[in-house]
Amino acid sequence: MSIVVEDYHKIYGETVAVAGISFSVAPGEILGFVGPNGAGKTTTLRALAGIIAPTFGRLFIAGHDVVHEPVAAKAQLAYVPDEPVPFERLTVWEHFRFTAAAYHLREWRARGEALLDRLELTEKRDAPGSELSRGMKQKLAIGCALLHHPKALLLDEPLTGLDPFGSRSMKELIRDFAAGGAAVIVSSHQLSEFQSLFTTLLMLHRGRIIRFGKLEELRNELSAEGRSETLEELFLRVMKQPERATELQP
Amino acid sequence: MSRALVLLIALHMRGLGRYLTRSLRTVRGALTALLGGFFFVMWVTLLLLTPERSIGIAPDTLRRNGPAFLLLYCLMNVFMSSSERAIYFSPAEVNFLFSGPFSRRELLAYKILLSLLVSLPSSLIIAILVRVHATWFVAVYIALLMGVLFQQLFGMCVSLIATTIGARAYTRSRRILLWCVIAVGAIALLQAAGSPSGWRSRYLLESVTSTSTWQVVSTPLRWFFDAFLSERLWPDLVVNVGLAMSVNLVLLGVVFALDANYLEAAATSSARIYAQIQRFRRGGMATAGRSGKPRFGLPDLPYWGGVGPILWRQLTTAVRGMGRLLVVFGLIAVFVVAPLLARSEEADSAAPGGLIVGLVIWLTVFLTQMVPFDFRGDVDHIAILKTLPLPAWRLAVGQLLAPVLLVTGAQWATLFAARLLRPEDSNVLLALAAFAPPFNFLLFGLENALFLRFPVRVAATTPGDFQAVGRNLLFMLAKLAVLMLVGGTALVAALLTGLVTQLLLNTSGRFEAADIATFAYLAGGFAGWLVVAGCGMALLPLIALAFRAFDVGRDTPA
Repeated sequence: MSIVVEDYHKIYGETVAVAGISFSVAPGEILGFVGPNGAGKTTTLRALAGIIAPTFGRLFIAGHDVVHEPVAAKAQLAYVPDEPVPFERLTVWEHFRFTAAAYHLREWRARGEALLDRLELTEKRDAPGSELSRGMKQKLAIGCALLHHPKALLLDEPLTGLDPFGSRSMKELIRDFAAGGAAVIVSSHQLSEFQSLFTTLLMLHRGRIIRFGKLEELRNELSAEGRSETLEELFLRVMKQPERATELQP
Repeated sequence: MSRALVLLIALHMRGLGRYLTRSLRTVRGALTALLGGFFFVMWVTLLLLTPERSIGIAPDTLRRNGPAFLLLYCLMNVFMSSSERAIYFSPAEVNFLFSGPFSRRELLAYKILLSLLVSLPSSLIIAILVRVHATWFVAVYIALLMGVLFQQLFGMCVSLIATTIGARAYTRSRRILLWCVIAVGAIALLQAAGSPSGWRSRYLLESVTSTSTWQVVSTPLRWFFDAFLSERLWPDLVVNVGLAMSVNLVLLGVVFALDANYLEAAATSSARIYAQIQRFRRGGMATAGRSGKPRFGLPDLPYWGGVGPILWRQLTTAVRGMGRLLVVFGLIAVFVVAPLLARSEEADSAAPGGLIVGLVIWLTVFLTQMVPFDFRGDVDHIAILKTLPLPAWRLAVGQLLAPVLLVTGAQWATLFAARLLRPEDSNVLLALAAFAPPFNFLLFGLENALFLRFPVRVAATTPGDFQAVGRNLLFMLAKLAVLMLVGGTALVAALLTGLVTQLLLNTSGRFEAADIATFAYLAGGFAGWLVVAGCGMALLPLIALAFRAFDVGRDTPA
């Protein structure tokens, strides 16, 4: 497994942000991480990225404990936050240059050029970060994330600010990347956008898992119940009565 | 340290160079940069021509009191900081570095090195400014760099200790420490009050700094001042800088040894600080405070043709950021107004009116930048303002009234205090109070007209940005020229009206000479007031025009 979370808790004073969740993501899987605001999605992604420490529990990236072997774990992951902020005065290409140096990449320029082209950033190659639009910043962050072929990719709301063309190419990029053997977690509210992309679904509510399973199994379950719901409809139904939801283990 | 982080620092420097030279691409930008550069060079040359040790503090005084001030400054940084003390990283650093393959120590080393590099030019400017207090410029510069490093490492140590012991325990410990400092200070003050020299701060400081305990405790800090005052390379500078460096190395050792997991606190705190910086960039210091829960609101104002709601919004913003503003007012009152007025009393000055006028003008100029509750603070809301169903001139009135009211209030408070201290100057003070509102309306009208025509963020200047220096200089000259023109016109109008009034009343033969003089003054003053107010009102169509011409897509500054 590329990503493993074991009994992860995050507690702030008396507030339990995440109450002991466990799951794993295998290479090639795209896990949809969904839940209402304040469910603990970003907190979990940030813990996996090594930005915040867990109160209890263990988190592994490509076999490395995020807390005890942070550098080794981080060398295998890429995290794109919900609101990526580039370095204001570094150009797009200089962001790639720094990323290549950080992950000790030798032959990266051709891949960098290809990513620029695919993300439609070629024209912005020499533009500083401060001059990029919201969508361009998003694309730049994704470009930097994919440059070093991470084994685990964590994306928090990756389609925000993108136009329909950008959204489509971003989804294709994520799918291709997962097909290349990476484990991907995508946190998003835009369920209809990702319906065709996710292979696995994890629903969080107030820091607890209320649904977790392969999307295919979930669909089978729904059809057995005689329902023909979209992912969004399922989400809305489950969130109305989260305590009645059943937990499925893949 | 990771080579990637060294590369990042180099790229930062390159980016800064690009940013500072971006203005040279246009003729206007090149000219303003040239003007700014010229005045900067002139200023530095003037400072450099001032002989060393000419007007400076005596070396013994500096050695004795300097360490106390350095420690006080570092402690103030700790006490004044947010309760959740943490090392600040920009959001981009949090995004790219915190999830990157770097150890916490590497990130700290990066932060220290970057700050040291950034402080190289700023320390050079400060060194030029303070060199009059020492004998050798090189020693001053190196000592300042050591001091900056000390201050940063001290802050980092406190942050990491805070992270190690936990935020709650830290806040409790800090509160206890603060109360201890206050208690010790209070005891020292009471002792000083009982001494023959009374409350005079000079003697109080001397008595505290001459105790043997302080002498021992402050020795490491004194090395920085010994380095500052070094006259020769060997042994003075080398030995003293070596000692100061050893203090910094000890702190550096503590920073690396702690290796606390500061990333979470830093990410949270950095996001909050960044939001404050963004608010500061939008609207200056008064708007930079925390965006906490609003505790109170202002009552609705009448519609007044649309002016009321606009004024209400700006006043609400102003009142919510008032805490910070009141601190500034308090500091001005304590450190500027009170000593000046006290000095005028002590000297039994014959012309305190001039002093008060100067004080009010200074206060006005200072406050103009502090209260951007008008178009300047709305730089990111112009699009919304443009959609409002209001004529532009009414919108302009609503926008201008909030800063005018605030500054007028501050001026009237100062004048009232001056009136209590010097009742014999009542007439001058009353005249100033009467002229304050129209003058402020004119001043803020000018500020806003210039802003809408040449928009720039209130607080977006970067050190070394000569274009910003040149632009500010040009704006200042333009404002000064208009104010002088209006002032001159008002003066001529006042004189003419006064003369005509005097002539008419003299001709009538029904008034006493003293009454005629009073009427002439009043009529002249009123004429001058009308001219200033009229000029302020005349700016409204210009502001309205500039507002309509403001293209949100093109003119919103970065």
